[in-house]
Amino acid sequence: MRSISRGRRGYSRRERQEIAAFHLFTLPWLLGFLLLSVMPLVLGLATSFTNYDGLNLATIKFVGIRNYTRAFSSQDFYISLSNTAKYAIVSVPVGLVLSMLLAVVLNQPIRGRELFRMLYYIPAILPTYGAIQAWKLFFGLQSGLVNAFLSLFSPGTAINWINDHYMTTLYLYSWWGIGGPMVLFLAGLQGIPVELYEAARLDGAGRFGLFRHVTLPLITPVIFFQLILGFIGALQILEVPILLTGRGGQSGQVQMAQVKFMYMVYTYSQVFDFQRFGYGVALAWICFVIVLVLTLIIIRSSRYWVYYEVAQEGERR
Amino acid sequence: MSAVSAAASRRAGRRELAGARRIVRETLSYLLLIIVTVIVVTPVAWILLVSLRTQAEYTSYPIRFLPSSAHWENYYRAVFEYAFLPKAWNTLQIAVPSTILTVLSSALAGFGFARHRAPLRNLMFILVLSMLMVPRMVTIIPTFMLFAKLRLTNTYWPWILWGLTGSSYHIFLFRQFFAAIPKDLEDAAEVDGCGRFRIFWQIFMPNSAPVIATAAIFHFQWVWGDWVNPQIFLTAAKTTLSVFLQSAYQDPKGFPLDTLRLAAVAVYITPMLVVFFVAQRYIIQGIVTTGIKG
Repeated sequence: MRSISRGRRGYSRRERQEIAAFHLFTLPWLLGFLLLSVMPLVLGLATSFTNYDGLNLATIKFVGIRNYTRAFSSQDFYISLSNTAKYAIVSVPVGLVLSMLLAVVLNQPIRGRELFRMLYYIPAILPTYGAIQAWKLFFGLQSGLVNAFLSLFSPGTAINWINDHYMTTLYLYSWWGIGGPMVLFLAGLQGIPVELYEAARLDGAGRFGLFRHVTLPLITPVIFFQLILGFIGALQILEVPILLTGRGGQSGQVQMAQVKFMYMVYTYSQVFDFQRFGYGVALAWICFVIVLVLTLIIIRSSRYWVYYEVAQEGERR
Repeated sequence: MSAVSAAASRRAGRRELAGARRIVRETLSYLLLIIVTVIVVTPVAWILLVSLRTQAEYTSYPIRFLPSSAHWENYYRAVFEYAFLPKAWNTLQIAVPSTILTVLSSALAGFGFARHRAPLRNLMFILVLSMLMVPRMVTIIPTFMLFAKLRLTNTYWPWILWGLTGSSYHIFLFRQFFAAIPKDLEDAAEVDGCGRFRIFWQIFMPNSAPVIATAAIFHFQWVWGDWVNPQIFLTAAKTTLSVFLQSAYQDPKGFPLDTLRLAAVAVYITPMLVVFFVAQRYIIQGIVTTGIKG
């Protein structure tokens, strides 16, 4: 009888045990969340209003919003932000379309599908440093295969791809990894019920009609997630440009050309090369706000273009 | 009769045309898939081909497709004449404990979220996922400040602490997997008087080999490939391969030894390729389960 007697807040003993177990199991995560995520977030936000240099707490001073105003009046800020925005706006949508098309081709009943899928995923599993070395070499002036290949048609081709066509090599690098999203699209495509295609075909839909009216709506949830994660990743691009060309601005190094300057590289360099911790965290927070706003916009817009089965049920009524 | 046979032959003709069209389409598909394969695989294969050359051949023109002779000793020199092995050991010292701890703590939290009802559960789960949205630099700069004050920089403690508290991605992975396990097993164990932890440890974990493998491989691969954290938190003596490889391969005068570096890179990426080929079913399943690329 005691087991069904209601305790405080109207929970049974069993329910209370379940709640206690829940909190025990999630305790390590909660501690980490509070100490290694929330605390750094708060500490960082507080630091962004100071002139902290990373060493001397004695000389630390509250400077109000000066770090933020400084960012908004800095040329480097605008240059690096617009480069990064350009990178994100080109690399993410094109990468999505390419990976989706590749998934559609691979979704046909063809032999060797698993083999192709595995091979396409290779760039995504390479350690970043290894992948970038491959790219640097591939497009390089010395022993670069791209130039060697082009020399077959016009002998002596020696294009300095990474220097003179920097954004192109970056875009191509990001599209080299389309095997990652492609695997997700493929899984999404394989989850579409065959009956839907059959019904649409009976209604007289051609191949394009099937794609437009069955395939595309049903994989919008995949597009939605990949769009958000793609933008979050692209706006933070950091080690790829650093490892591709160096981060510039270090003592004894040539100032990096403006076109190559990416936002997080700027942030990183301000903190770890110039010891401007306050300013650097302010830059990171500005990026955070941009990511948040962008994510909210995509989530808000999703009701107009992302297909959810639940919504469909509601409409039918 | 002739009308009937004409119709039949027309139908047969149409079928033949459809068959021909299918063959054309399949051929085109294969052609496209093979071209993409060549583009995707070539840059990796090219590392191997160039790593066998001498430095003089590396810088010479015109660029040759095949090395004039294969200098396999590049691999021996890259691994044994430079500090490759000590740095590989450093990398393992970070990656192995970090992987074990991350998998365990993420599985615990994932089990908590998947199999228990509690107020605030959904809110807390949203918090888990929302951390995926925070740019890395936003937390890493203050974390560095904090760890520097606590004298934890240049030790492997940060990875232990991160490991103990799990990662959002893997918590999500485990939650999705555990939520799909039927409740009967759990109920039977509960009737037998098993506590929640025993249910987790003796029923859920032994039945979760695929997702454990996925999480472990993903996390190990992530630490093995990570460049930012070692660069920020460790000095040259304690650092990992990814940072070491960048600056190590020079001759005594400071000139780069690119082909040795490429040989080292080839050795560096090989374990990841092998793990992937062996466990690709798990890896791809893991990506698909969470919908997030690892």
